[in-house]
Amino acid sequence: MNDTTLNNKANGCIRAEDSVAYLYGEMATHESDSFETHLASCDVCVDEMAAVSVSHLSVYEWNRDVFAALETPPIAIPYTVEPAILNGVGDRYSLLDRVRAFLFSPAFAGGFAMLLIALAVIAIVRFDGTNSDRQFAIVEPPQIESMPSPAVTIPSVAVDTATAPEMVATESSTRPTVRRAGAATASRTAEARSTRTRPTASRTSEVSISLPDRRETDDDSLRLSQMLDELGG
Amino acid sequence: MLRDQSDEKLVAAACGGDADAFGEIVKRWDRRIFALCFGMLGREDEARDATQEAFVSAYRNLEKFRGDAKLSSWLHRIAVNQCLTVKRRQKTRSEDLFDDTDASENQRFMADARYSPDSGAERAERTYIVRNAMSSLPSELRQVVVMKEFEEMTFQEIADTLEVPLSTVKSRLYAALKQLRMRLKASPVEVV
Repeated sequence: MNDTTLNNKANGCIRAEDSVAYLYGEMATHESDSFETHLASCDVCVDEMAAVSVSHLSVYEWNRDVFAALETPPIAIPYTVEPAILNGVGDRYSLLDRVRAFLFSPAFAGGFAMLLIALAVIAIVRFDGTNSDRQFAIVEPPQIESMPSPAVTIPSVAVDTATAPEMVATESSTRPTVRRAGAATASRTAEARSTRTRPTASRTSEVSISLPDRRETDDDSLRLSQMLDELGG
Repeated sequence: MLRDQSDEKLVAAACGGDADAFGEIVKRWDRRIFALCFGMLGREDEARDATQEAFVSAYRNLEKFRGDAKLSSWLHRIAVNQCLTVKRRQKTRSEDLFDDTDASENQRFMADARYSPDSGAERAERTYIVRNAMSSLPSELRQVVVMKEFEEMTFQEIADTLEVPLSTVKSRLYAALKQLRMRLKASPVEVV
């Protein structure tokens, strides 16, 4: 860009702000060279450079004379010491803070748990003491052989053929297809009728099962297979 | 009294051979020219030499001062040209020595305090004024000055810390230094 277009005294120079970056050495080498070339011909930027330099020098001297001479205080954090609030020296904390810290401390939680356990033990001992006569009572087991075997009766089920679902065996599948009776009447075939499974009153039966004596055997699987044999027979 | 004379009258008197008149000019502008040289070169010793050379050059070329510009601008121009000459010389020397140019950049603002000729009382007074001027800056402007001048952070580090664009950092620092300059100029005691 031509410097004559930038160097406008009335409106300033658009590169005037670059004086800050140049002042603090924050320009790349080529940018710095470019700005120096610009400075050689731009009076606005020269004056701007002088203005910011004065401020910079003042702050620099203030820093050098006051702050740079100050030594940073050594900071040592006693990591091995417990926090003051738990150590009893937290005077700057309020009473409420200390109570809250105590309630949430591990020592308080452990003590409270021990107290609960002790109360529970005392309660159990006292309860058992009041019922000491039942404590060692001998309970006679029921006489299993004298108990009659329960008779299990399967009630007869009457099925309404008009509303009951039909069990239709199809050729493609071994699983019977369930259809509603009303919807399946149109497609019903004679072949399907022959394979239809319909519960009737004639299949209703009463089965009486007597449980075997428990003393004969304890093998549940044997007893179960025996029951199934009786049902099947 | 020379102290009450305008710059133009002092220049005219100096051109007539009045050494005291030029001495008054030097006294009036030496700190500002030194600040400019320090800003350009970054080292106090080099800045003092450049300031010396600039005033010598001004004295030799005083007759060329036409008066259509302010004396301060004319002196600034001479000082900047002097600093550019010094920097060119440094660059040539570092190239001759196969030295890294960044080395001279790293030495910026690492000057020794013994080069300062000011008395303790002047420094204390100046410090007080600068501190007040800094305190009167808006916080967002004062923040970038402190980060740059005291913590020596780069523009990019300041931008990252404040989470603002890099251009904002430059603008704020520029505005801060300009406002600081105005406040120092308005102080009852001459600071710069």
